[in-house]
Amino acid sequence: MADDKTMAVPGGGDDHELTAREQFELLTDEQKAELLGGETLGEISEADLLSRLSHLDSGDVLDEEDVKAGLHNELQAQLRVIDQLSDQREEASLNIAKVLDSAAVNLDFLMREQVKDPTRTIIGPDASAESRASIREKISLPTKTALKMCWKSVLIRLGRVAITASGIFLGIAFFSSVRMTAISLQAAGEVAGQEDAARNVWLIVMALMVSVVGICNSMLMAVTERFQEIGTMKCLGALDSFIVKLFLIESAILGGLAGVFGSLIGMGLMLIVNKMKYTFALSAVLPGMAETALISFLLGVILSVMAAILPARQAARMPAAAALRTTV
Amino acid sequence: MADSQATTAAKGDHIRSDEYVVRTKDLKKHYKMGDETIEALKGVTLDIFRGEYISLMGPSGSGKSTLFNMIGGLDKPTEGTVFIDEVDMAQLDAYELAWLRCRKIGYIFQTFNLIPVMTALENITLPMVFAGMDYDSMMARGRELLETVGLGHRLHNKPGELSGGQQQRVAIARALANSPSIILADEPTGNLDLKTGKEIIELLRRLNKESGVTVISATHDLKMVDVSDRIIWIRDGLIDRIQSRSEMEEDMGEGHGH
Repeated sequence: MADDKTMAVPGGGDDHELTAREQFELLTDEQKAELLGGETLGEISEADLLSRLSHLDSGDVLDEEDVKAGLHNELQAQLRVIDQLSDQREEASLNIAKVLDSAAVNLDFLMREQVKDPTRTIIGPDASAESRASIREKISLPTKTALKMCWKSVLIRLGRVAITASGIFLGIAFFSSVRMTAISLQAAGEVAGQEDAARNVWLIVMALMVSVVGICNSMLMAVTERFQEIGTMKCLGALDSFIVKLFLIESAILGGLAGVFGSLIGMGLMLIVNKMKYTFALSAVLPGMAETALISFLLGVILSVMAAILPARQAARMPAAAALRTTV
Repeated sequence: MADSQATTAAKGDHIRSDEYVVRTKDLKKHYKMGDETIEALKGVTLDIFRGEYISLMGPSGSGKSTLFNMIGGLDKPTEGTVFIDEVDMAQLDAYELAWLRCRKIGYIFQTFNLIPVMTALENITLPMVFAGMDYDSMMARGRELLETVGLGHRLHNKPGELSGGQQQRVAIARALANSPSIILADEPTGNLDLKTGKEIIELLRRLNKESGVTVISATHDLKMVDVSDRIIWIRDGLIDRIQSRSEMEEDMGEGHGH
């Protein structure tokens, strides 16, 4: 249909009306010179030529009707293009504003899942023990779904998550760098002082404790920010344990990522430093590095889950109404 | 059957059975604010029949929202009992309460309360996840629900990318995901323009008249009041008065109504 309209434009012009250039050819040399006014024909656009033709006052060579018809045709073509564009735009805006035609809504479909049995036979003291037990199985949040939800949530809030995880990240990076130095020294055949080792352990413990306090604080904030979300989920049928599960999985993902990245950075930096100081083969430190990465990952997961337990439980225990009311 | 119900409804008759869907008995709720105790509800006894369309009205601070939360099982009363389908809510364990919220009650909020990081489709399928529906039928129903509310082309948009009316339609589709028999709507048209508000009231009215869903709505919207069977006025934590529609129409006189 769109093709028909665009095809019609040149077709209409060719049939009986002369184009401006054809009309120009019909003029006398004198008129041509007057019309061009020093320019060449090539420099003048079709529309300009048409207007000059209509202003040419000498003689009746120009068929005024023809010019008018030409202009009219052009105008029509332009209008058609405008129509077409606005049609498209209107269609788009109709789509956006497409209203809910409540009369057309299929209620049978909406109500298809409705529970038909009387409620008192399903839950409560009058219901059978089997029914009450089966409710326990029906209300569920499969771990796979929870993992997917948490992974998406982490990806979407990446900036926020990065800040929350930075405490663990730095703690683990420090832990890994200390371990890396020890591994390097061992590979190079050097002996670390007993005193150094004791101090390092102390530093590592302190660093990790600071990390836990930091992430605990961040988790409290994150949970508070999401009170309304928690309340809504409870209205939709989430158990307290689902909320706890979601928060713990999310912080496990976060801690795991922070652990691995922190470990890689910490070990990488120390590897470069020690490689310059001592001589050892890379293959000699690789097993130690792999072990450190694994420990870091586990440490990250465990520490951030530990930090999240309290805030998550506190949030989950809140009555749904209170959670919904809270605005931060 | 649905048609005959619709026609009688148009004449203004009540369609309700004699079964109670919600009953409250001497419901009291006290909040502690420092040393002071605030009595939000001072003893509310209320019977709501299956298939009724109820509007809860009252100024803010009247205890309207508190009553609403008690009926929906979102908060525990200090004293008194709430029965849903003749089951005492206080005697339910966490699983049963969750099941009730999940399968029996659909909540619609003034502020829509969609989960901001989830797409429209994910928001709608969430109650179905909790109800233990399998993935494929969940997705199929989610899509169909969104198409039903005219958002078939917005499946993967996040709430932030939708207009207020569209968000509320997603929220309604979510409330209907598990086909509830009670819809609790807290000012559902409060944040919407006139036209969207009307559409939503019309859908609630159809659900009520044709499918027998009990609608309980806290509202200020007179359009909402127009379609209600009864209006319950709450004041100072007590029921001030209960008006049936015919009484209300007399009250409003010829100046209002169409």
